[in-house]
Amino acid sequence: MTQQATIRAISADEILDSRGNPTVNVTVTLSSGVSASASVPSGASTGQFEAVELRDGDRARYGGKGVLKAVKHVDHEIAWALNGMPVDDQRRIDEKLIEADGSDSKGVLGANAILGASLACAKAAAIERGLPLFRYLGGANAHLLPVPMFNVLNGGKHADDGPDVQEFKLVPLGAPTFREALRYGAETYHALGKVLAETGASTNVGDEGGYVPRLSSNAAAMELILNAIERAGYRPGEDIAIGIDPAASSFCKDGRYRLARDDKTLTSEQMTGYWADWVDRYPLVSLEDPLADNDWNGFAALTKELGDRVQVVGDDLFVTNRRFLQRGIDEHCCNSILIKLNQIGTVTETLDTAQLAFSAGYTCLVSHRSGETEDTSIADLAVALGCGQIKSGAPARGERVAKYNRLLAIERMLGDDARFAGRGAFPQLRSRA
Amino acid sequence: MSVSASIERVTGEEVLDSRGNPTVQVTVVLNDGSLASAAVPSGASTGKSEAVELRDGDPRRYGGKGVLQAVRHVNEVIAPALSGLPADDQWRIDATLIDLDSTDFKSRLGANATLGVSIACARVAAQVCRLPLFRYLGGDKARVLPVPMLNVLNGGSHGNGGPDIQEFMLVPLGAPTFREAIRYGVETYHALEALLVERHATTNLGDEGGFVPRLPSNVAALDLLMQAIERAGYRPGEHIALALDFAASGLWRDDRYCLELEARSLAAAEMMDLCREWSMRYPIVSIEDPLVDTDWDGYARLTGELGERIQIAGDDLFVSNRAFLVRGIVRRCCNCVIVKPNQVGTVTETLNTARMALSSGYSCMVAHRSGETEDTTIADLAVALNCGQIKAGAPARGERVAKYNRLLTIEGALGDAAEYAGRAAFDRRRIGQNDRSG
Repeated sequence: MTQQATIRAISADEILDSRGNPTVNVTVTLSSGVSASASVPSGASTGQFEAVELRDGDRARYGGKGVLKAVKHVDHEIAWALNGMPVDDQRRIDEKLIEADGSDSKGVLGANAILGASLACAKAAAIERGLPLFRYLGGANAHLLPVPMFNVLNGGKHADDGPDVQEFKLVPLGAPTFREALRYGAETYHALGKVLAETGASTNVGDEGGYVPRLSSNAAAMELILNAIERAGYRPGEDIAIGIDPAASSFCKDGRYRLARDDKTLTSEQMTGYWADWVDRYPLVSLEDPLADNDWNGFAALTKELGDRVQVVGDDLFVTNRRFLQRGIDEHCCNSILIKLNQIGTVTETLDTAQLAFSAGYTCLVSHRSGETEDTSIADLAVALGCGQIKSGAPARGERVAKYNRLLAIERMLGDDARFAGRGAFPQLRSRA
Repeated sequence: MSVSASIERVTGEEVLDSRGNPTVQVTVVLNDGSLASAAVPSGASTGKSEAVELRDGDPRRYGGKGVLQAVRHVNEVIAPALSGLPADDQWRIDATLIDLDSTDFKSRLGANATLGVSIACARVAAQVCRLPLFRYLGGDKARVLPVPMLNVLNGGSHGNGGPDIQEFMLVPLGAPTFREAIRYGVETYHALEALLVERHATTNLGDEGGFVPRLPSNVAALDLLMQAIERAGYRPGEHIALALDFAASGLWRDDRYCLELEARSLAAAEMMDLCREWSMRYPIVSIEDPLVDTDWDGYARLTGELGERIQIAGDDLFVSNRAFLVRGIVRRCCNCVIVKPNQVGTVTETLNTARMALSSGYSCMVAHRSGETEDTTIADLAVALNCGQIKAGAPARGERVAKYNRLLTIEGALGDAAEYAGRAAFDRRRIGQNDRSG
């Protein structure tokens, strides 16, 4: 830009997320009159080293979950720090935000305040330049549509009465386009709903839009999904593979893994054996947080054993943080990282973490949180990174579907340039075939 | 606009709604480059005479629920007909759509095609006029924020395993502002969740974001809500009242209302007794669809008996259709109409129905559908009409919350001019007086 637009005003507002909890919405207005808003998600299953989401703690409002403090920080400290800055210098904006907070965890101003401002600036800058967000963030070559990972069966913390494993995901990697992948997924999701209804099970949904049936074992959930895939007319493994997120930290106590549904208590080694068995038996392409977030040795052993056959994703282990990822790379833990903007708190740090992952041969999986809004930035982020994978819940609940609908719009916008990542998103499949 | 911008391009697209079913999204581009989109909702519990939602019926795609035909109608039939029309002439745009379709219930083009186009045109015109949508549709006087009717407990066809009655709603009419009303509602919703967790009941959600617990009776659901209100620190009736949607056409079997949960069935007269009894025992301000949609005489009787005290809202009976509403007015059936744009298929017809209702002493409640999108048009519509009531589900699930968040934004934008409808939205005497003076 010859004439740089600068930030003229930043303000925030308390709105609600998809669970009815307050969250921060930030609006940035530029000297040119352009304005853009961004709102911030919130996790229920949070890693212990995540950036800190600031909540008021005032029991008289929203049971202590209000975000008026974070809103005030945007209106004052952040507005004061960013006013007058050129909006297209994302790195400097984010550095300024980090500096204004001054802590490691972003707990002073709140990662919710900081991320809202960071994202809103990126969106405003994109509009100012006349570019869609994915092009602004990812450059001229951003053209790869991610494989959607649909969390259609919820367990763990995201849903009561369900399996121990938190997420069972459909991975329609055999589809020719994103639009078709979405159809494969939606049809199978509805087939699953029918299978459940026939057995008299509930088809009400959890936080991420998946069903939450009572099941006799974790493997029963797997069988149910395979059944649904076939019922919808697809071939398991070829058209639609499966990804799981056990979120193992949530059922690990004192170094032992307690699977309540299976009535089993396992050591780290036995847990790894359990997953190895699943990799053999099922068309499993992605395994996220299979062990607890302090079990680095276990992760190294598991990656060594399974890493050439299945994607091993670190979420709680890395919390989108460059420092933890570097340790993972050094110690050969995982071969993939989950990318969540609000775990780290700025756009720049998120991009840096992804960059480090790619340069070490790790794949990246861009992810939503269990508490979401209608904000669709992560859809653009996935295309910007060209990482080929996104998880944004089941194809149900508006806050989940909004991201998939945004990807439909991006695919259409790209026209003939668009490529669907498909099987290529999972390098481990090459050695398996 | 001095020189109005005209419509240059209209395109439809198949996207997904909140249940993962295909729906129509329309984008309109004007000759000055302005652009806006709108997406269409879809009901599960639909009235018999609703405008027709066109589905492909091709079992190989989305189990027959694809909307490629409707999309094609937008691109190939509607687009050429609207090209060149001024975007700010909503009446003419909608008249053209009605004309093109030329059926009674939009069965040729599909109401999903016509509504998407109609709303997208309104949105882009508002943008060109530099007005927020509620101002563009409602004019200068649009400033009343509606009372949110939060459907926190789902049953019937919207949530399986729950009560027979489809919707149990919290009505935070005692709040000073919309922002506070939402807080009252959210805190009570979460108090309800805590109560359910204590009883080891499920807290998974139905289509509209409400909980769907297994309960011994329908009254148990009412008691649970009363308890949740108090637990959250509010006074039932004063801060937060209750509203129900029986969706009674869905309960109607062999000339009786079948309450499966309670293993009993009621004759029409007994159903009316039930409404009377509940409205005495509980702080209920509104009952929707308490009778089957063919029982006009029953509705007249029930309205005569209870209409002075509470709101009797007609949804399946009127399906937002002016002709049915006129019949209701003449026969004194109900005193409130549920307004859902996709039941009639254009913005103009929706506004006409609402104006007819308001000028006849009926109240209006703007409503979402059980299949929704991130589109927030109904929030603007409620403010445009100054009708004081909106139901958009529980304060959970993004497609529901988006509407409430939009109302927060509107309240913020209106500043001191904003007025929260509160209790007055349900004051039968006041509504009647307005009618006589107006």
